[in-house]
Amino acid sequence: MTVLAWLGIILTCLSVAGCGHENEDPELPVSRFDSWKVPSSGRFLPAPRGLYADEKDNVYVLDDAGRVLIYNSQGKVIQQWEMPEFSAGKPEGIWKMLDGCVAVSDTHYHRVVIFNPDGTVKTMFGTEGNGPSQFVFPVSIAQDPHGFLYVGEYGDHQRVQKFTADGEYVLQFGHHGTGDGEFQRPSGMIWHDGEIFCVDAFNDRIQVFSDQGKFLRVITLPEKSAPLEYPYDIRVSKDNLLYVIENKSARLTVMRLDGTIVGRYGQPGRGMNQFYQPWDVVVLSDGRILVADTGNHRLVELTP
Amino acid sequence: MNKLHTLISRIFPAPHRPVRPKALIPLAAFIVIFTLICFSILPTLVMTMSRKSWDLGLFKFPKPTFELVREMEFARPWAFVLLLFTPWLWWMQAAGHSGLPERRGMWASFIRMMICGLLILVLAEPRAVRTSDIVAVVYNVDVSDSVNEARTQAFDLVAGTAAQKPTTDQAGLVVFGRTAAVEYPPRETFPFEKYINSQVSQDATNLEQSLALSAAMLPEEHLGRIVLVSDGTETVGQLKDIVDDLQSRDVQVDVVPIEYDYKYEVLLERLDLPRFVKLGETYEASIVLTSLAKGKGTLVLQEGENILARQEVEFEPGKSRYSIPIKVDQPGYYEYSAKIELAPDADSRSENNEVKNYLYLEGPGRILLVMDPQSNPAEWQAMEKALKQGERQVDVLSALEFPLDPLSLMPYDAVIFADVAADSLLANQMQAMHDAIRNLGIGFMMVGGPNSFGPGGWQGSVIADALPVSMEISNKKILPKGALAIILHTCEFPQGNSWAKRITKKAIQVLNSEDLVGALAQTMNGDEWIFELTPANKYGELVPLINNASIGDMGTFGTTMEMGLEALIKSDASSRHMIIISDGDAQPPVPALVAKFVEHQVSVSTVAVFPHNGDVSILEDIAAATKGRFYYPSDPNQLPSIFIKEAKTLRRSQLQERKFVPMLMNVDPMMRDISDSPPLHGYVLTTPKDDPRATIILAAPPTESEVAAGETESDPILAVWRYGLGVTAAFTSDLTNRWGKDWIGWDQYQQLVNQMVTRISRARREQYLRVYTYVNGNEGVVVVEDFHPEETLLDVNVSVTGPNSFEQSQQVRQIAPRRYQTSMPLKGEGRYQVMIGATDGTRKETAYAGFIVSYSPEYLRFRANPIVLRDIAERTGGSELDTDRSVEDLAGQIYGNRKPKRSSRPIFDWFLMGLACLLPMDVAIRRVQLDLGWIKKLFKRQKSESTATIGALLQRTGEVRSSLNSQRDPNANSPRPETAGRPLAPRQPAQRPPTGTPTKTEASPGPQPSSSPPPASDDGGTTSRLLAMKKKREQDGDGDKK
Repeated sequence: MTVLAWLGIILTCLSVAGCGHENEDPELPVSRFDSWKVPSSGRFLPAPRGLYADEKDNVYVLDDAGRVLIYNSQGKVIQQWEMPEFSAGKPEGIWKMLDGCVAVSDTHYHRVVIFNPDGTVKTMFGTEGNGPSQFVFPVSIAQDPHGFLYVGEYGDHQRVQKFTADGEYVLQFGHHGTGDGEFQRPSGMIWHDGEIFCVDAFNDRIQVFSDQGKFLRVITLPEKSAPLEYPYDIRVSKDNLLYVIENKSARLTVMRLDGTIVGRYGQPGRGMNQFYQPWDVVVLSDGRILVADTGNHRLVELTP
Repeated sequence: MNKLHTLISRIFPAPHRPVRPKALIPLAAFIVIFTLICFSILPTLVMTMSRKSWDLGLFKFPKPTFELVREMEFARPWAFVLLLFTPWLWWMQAAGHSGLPERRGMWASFIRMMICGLLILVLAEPRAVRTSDIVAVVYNVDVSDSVNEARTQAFDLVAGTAAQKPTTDQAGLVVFGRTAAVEYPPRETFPFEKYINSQVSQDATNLEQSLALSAAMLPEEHLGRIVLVSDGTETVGQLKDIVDDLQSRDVQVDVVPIEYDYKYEVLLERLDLPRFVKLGETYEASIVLTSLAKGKGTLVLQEGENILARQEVEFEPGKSRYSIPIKVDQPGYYEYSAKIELAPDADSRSENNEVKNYLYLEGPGRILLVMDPQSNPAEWQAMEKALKQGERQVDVLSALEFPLDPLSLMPYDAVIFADVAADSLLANQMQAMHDAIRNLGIGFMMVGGPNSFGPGGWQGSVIADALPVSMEISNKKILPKGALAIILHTCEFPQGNSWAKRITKKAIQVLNSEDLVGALAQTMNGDEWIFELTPANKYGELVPLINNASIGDMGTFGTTMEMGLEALIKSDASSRHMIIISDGDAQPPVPALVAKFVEHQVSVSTVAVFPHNGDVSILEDIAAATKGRFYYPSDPNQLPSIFIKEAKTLRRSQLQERKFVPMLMNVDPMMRDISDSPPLHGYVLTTPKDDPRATIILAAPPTESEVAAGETESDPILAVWRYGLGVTAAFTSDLTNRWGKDWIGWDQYQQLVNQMVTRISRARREQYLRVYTYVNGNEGVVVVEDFHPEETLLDVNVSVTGPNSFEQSQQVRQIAPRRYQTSMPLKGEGRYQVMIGATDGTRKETAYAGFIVSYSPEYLRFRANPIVLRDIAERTGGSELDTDRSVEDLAGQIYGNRKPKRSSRPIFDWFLMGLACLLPMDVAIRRVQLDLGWIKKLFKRQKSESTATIGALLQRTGEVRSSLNSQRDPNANSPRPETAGRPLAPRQPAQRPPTGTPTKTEASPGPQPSSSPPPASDDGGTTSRLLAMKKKREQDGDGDKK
């Protein structure tokens, strides 16, 4: 009896030492961590920045060599082309439009470039400035099912402008600040069911607007969950889950539309199961997740 | 036989009680567990600390992660011989020699055997064995000058093959020249950027050091490979040793020879100038040209910027010599350069087409007066005039024109910096001045003004080292404290982050020790402090933090600006400033944050470095809104001076503008025949250096308020000391209309200025030594000739200092009557100063000279040496990679051919921890008896039972108390209060077996009445009672069994 008592005391001490308040967010189950090869560009290995996955699971990748790379669902590069200009800086947002063209927010040239499916430039719109149809550092781009394009910018005006598919200005919303409807880098957005879910990166939040630009709400995470840290981009899956990539905490967060956390994955680092300053995320139809692990110069494939 | 039996019976004494089969349980359990662990059948848990942590409020503990070790090996298996002790341990317990009851004895026996087993395991040094299928590759790329153009192809190969590596494999990069540096350690990720951040000397090829560093970077547990990309022309190091080491470590080296074999190559080998010249006479400059093929070109000879000759030449393969007449009309230092101009296809390398040399013709000493580019030269006319009236030849230069090398300062006896700011000079100009003082004996004086000393940003510079006063202000002087926060955005240009780190360190050096400095950047953990606001005197602690920081591409200025602002506001500094260095594409701060900066009067200066598309509007706006300055340097070399300029804004408080008459503190030749001086009107605060060589000649008396406050320390106005071979002085006031307006008109002004300059000037004596130096390949040759009327044997020593921290001293041997000569290997391109000291016991002479190495010795090579590389590959089991193959094939070759690697690591510390846990258990089981009855009682909820229990306990306590009292003193009636609460078990004492009874104990006749008399030795003390109780339990145990 005494022996058992002593064992009990020691085990109790050990367990008390191990009882702490840990982050209560569930870990996203990932059975496989792999990477897709990003081809080198001359004497350096480019870092993927912007991602988009189409209905065939072809993945469109923008990298910091100024290239658009198109991968098939098995991670093989099937097409690639370069931006018309990229010496001043590389673009950051990419979206395949309903008509099959590819729209790129050409950040450092303050414009939107529309490519034909073969990679030739179809059209470009926007000049540097603060007026309608003008941009300063356009960073994100998305299209709704009605064909309207939404372009977020982080320069002088922190705003989102809405255009027709032909580039005609429709409306704008948001400006620089920390209040409701204000932004500090709207670096990614997604249309879902008539609402625009917009990551407000340096305000550490996701804001929801109507597609007419009216501020609706801020998605609130449960109190026990760790707050978002620099959410850089957002995607919504077929089962209405939001996939948010957090740049600062190097973490993928999957949440429901109301903000409850489904799971989180990743931590800062340069090894396996780690990310370093990730910029973008996409979800493929079979559930695989691709993360642009920008700081690590790799394109990570997570298999649930 | 009897002896053996006796020995065995002594080791295993006869049992006190019968040993029953049940007693074998602990032994069997121990044998089973121990065997399972030893044969790795029972997985052993090994704990490592992860990045996650448990938050326990005040404390955070790293969260351990457990790893199963499925295979173990032992470094010292002989330790298992000690297992022979375990049967003895078991026997002593089983036979009842431990004195414990049977059940506890079994546990105790088991625990003790486990302790013994763990101890044996620890002694056997267990190692966890792992088998890894991961390949770790370190690319080892030669960036020395000899592979100049081929470097790009080398990095193409690295990027191409690393892009194809399997996800779990690791890749790293080491670059090397004379030294080697790790660009990326081997990891699963290979974030290969466009620019190499490591700085290595490129003027030599050190294969040994690079391979050693690469091998050291390879993780032990994975299969390690090195891919060596080089031309194989080793110029430094011993390759053989490291190859042997790689062989022994089973590290395979694959090689990619960078091959070149020039058919057309022309280089200028030497420019020979006359050893000794006289004014006005014509001499010849000889140029030695080497060519691999017949050719022609244009040979140009220049003196400084002046072209002396330009002539067409034709040359044959081999060496050719050309002579061009030169003439020197004035004493001084003349630097000549010869250059060959060729058709583009006639030459392979242009770096070796120019060669330099110098000629120094000694004449009357001159004084160099250096002005700040921003200052008005008219202000210093009085001083210049005074110097010239002293029959000295004075040259006046702007700091921008100051020579870049010390040899150019040889014609000067002394140099005066007249209120020159540190940021108007480049680092190599400062170094040239410093070296000229220390190694060539040239005098130096810094004359004060708002741009001099501390406020001029000189603190922490090499010039500050040479001065007799320190710019560090003693604590007694209450100066307003400054605080500076530096924000470092990633710098996307070659060695950008190295620059950022270097200039951060420079800025800290300029600050006063009490000033606060902090640095912010985006690192692996997001936007954070590299180090928080810290007094600048902790520079030594800050340097490693700066060096180890990984500076990332910051998304927003807002976060770091806010962090910096909060810290600046909280600081007790009166002057607060922030500097941002960035490429300008980060998110601007919100207007509210900018307003907060304005509200708290924190200025922000911004520096745009290689901004995207030249867009600097965000940085300009921040600086304008906060009343900071905006810089857009075209060259990163300007960055240090910008930071010095910024940092020195915090130091304006060191200017002391008041009228005073300087006090004479020490007698010195500077003040000879100088009577009372007129007042000065200001000076710069400095502190005398704590060095007996530093002499304070004039000082400013303390002010009345300082005297009232008990501070009687005076501030230096004029100080002097010897630094190296030269003499330096500091005059902290000025000699212009600003602070020295009463001195300019003073009749002894000229006398004082000249005496000051005479005191610091290099002494000139009649010289009998003539020094001739020349460079032969990578060697410098020094020839000394003695022309003294009397021939004596001289003890001649030479000291040479030069680039890359080169310093060497050695003796110069006599090779012929009156002729001495020596040579030494030099350290790459640059200018070297040579100082000769000679003595024969009575005569002492000093002479100065120099070397100019025109280009890196790496450019003297015409072909690669792939044989060396192939030999390395062959000896280490590697192969030569064919660069004509596709990158996929090459990657397959590098990352393929994998064989699992076994590695082991010690895990004995975890067994030690097991021991640490078992030891208290062992003691507890043997020595501590817990009464656990209260736990049972907790579960008895009925009040009546509870009351009954308490009542029973009280009754029992009373009984025990009276029993103990009666044992202690049969006559005492009152109980002992200190034993009242002791939870003793109500057991009956057993009879003690008489001494000398047979070893086999007899069965106890049964419980004895509690009134049995105590043993005779019992004096009623605690020890006796415990002894009695122990024996009683022993009896009880035996009784239980029966």
